[in-house]
Amino acid sequence: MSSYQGDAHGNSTFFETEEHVETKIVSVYTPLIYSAILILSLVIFGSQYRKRRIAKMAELPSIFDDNDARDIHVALKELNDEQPVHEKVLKAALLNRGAEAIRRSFKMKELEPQINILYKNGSIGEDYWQRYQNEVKLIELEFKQTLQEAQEIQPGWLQMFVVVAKEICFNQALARRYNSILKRKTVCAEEWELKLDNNGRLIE
Amino acid sequence: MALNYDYDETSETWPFFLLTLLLVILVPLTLSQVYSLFNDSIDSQEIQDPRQRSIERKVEQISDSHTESSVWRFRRAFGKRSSKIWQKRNIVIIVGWVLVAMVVQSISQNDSIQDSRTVLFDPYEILGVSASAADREIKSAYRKLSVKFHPDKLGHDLAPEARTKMEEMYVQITKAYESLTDENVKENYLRYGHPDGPQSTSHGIALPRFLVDGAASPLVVLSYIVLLALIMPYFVSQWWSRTQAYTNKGIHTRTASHFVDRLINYKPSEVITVELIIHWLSEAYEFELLYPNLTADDFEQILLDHINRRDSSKIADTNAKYRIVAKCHSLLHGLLDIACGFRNTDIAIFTIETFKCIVQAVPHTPYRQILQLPNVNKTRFLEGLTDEVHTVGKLFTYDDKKIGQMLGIDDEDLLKETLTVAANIPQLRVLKAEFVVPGEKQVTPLSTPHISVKVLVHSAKQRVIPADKFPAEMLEESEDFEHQRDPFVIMEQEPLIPYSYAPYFPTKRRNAFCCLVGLQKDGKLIQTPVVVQKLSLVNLDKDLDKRTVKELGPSFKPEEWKIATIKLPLGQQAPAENGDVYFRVIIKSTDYFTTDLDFSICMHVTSAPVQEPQEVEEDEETENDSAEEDEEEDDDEEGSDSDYSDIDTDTEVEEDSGKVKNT
Repeated sequence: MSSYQGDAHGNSTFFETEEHVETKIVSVYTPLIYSAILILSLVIFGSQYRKRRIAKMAELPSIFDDNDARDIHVALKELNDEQPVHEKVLKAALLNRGAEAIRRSFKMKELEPQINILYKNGSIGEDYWQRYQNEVKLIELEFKQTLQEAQEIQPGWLQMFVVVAKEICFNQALARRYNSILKRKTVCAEEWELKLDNNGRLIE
Repeated sequence: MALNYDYDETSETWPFFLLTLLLVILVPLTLSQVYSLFNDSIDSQEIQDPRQRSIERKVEQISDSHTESSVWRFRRAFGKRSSKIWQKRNIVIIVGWVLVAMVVQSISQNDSIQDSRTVLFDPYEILGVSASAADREIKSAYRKLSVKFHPDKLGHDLAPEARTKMEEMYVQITKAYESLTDENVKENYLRYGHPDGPQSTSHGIALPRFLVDGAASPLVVLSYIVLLALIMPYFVSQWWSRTQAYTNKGIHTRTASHFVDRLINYKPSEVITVELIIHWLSEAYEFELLYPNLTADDFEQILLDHINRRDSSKIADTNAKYRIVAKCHSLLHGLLDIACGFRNTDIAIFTIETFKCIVQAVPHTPYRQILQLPNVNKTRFLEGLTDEVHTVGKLFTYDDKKIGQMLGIDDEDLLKETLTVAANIPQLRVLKAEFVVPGEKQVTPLSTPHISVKVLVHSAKQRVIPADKFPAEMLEESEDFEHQRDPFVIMEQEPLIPYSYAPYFPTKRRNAFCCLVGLQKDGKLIQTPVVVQKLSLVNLDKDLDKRTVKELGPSFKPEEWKIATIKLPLGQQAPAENGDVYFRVIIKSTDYFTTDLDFSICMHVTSAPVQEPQEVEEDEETENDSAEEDEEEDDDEEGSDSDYSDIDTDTEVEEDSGKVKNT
């Protein structure tokens, strides 16, 4: 708020205030305490914030449905501590777990451009993006873990393990498709209201 | 540079402060309100085209008569809510403007404001000349005034006060004169606004003293704290979380995440059915938000009940059911968008199918096209089925009486209704589909083509008109300037699609056509869906009953039929190399079960100019062709020339008239 107005006491007060300047004696510790409180509060805030974020990220559900392969393997390992489980069973469970990890990492790689586009278009939210990033890292970790276990069970098995797990992964995909044929048939027959006889032939 | 701060004792400034604040809020609010009022009227605008409107009225009447009273109540309740928000806003605006009027009133009555205005130094006003006055005028005005007010010329019989006033006046006049003529004084005036040089400035707080020094000062501080530390962050965070909570397609991010999860976990070996989509849909977060005490199973039950037109669930509140069903519109559009993002053709198609099921309240059976019609007796129809009648088109091969028997409709008026709806369901037929690059004869590498589909909208009742009955000119792409500039403008010019026959859907719906584009190579979609909401259906009125018209004779006039154009922008460029790329185009109605279009279209990419195939054999024709083309080009040029010359002549005329006026 300034205006040009014809009053002159602005100047006079200028001189008046200059005459009595008060000085206060301040302890040396004052700035130290001030900065200490400031820095401490910032540090506390920062750590709390990070903790909360990590807790929040841990709360985010996985993109994939339940990981049965891993659950079975973990359960078997626990069982192994109580009573010995046959080595081949453990190995098979581990291979199954590795195959699932490979399937998931394939799926993630396959979906990467599409999720990117959806995120850029604003069709999915921020938290899904976060979940996706987490999932990619978790799958990587999971795969590394299986490799480590394989190395522990039998040193030098690693090369073979990866190849076999991949084979299993592809075979499982094929088996899924093959096994679903019958189910697809019933679903389609229902959808089109087709009547089939006992031999599975169409009734005209 | 004064160090003291004045309060606004005489309330000189703070009313202006308040006024500015009020106007900053009120003006945009009022404008937006006026705009929405205007826009609203456009939105609820009826179809302009009278023929389209008459088609709409026929179906709308039947649809309205079949709508249950509970649906009407629901629609009214929804209408009311929107008007309530309206009134609240209007009250704010009215109160705001009343406050503005009061502030303006208080400003105009405030003496001190008037005083401070007179204190301002304006030499022109003092001398009584206009701001654009020449030196001579200023001088003469000064002379006249100085003669009048010169202290020596004043009468002796004046009172002392009047005399001092007159003398002051004279000083002012002299100052004003000097500030306009004398170099130094003038510079002072121009720079500082006063002939005596810089004036002292005072810095004040635009608040009355009692608010700052008095007992009310904690109140002011408190209100500042509340405003800046509580209210503002609250609203900002509210706004932010709201924008974060919903995706671009208007569905909750949690729902979107759920849909993406389902798509990722979906195994290709599974068959997609409407039930599966409804199962996904029932887990949407929106439903949970609306009715937190119901579970996903309840929602699924409600939706399945709606589709099967039955009532088996324990939820008695019909409005709740309607809200859930009505919500499916935005949810399924969100799912469609995500499915297209995932390039999954099957899921995208079944999302639209599910939507049709929900709109028509008809399960996804092979007889859905028949069951969507009004008055159909389902059990009698299914029992008395002798031939396979799946489509409305097949239905119209029988005569009216037989149709009545088949559908189990005995009443003649009811049968008439059924037939009217059946005849007014728009069916599309592709006449021509091609890739078009505006301004080019062929698709060149790296150009940006779009898909142009010429379709014939027809009724299932009408005899099929083959594409070759239409002369090639009718299927040509128009090549005028306007269409080259914006090829999609042609779709905007069409009238709105009429309301659908959908008495079971809670809200009134206009039909639309959802267009999906995919690659034939991998069978996957390549872009988000295009929704066509404007299409002329005037052809439905034509009488070309296939039961009476056996053959398209010479009486058939192609000009009487309207050919619609659907243009789909392509999200990607043409490939860099020459060759053929095959695309799949799917055009589905969102509301009716009709014969949806699903065809493949080839993009023929060539960098060489198109060669006339019969160049050597039929020279004359090609010459004719080229001559015609030349003529067309000439016409175009002439047209554009005349356009521009029109503009030129216009300006010339204006200039001429201006000159005349000047002289």
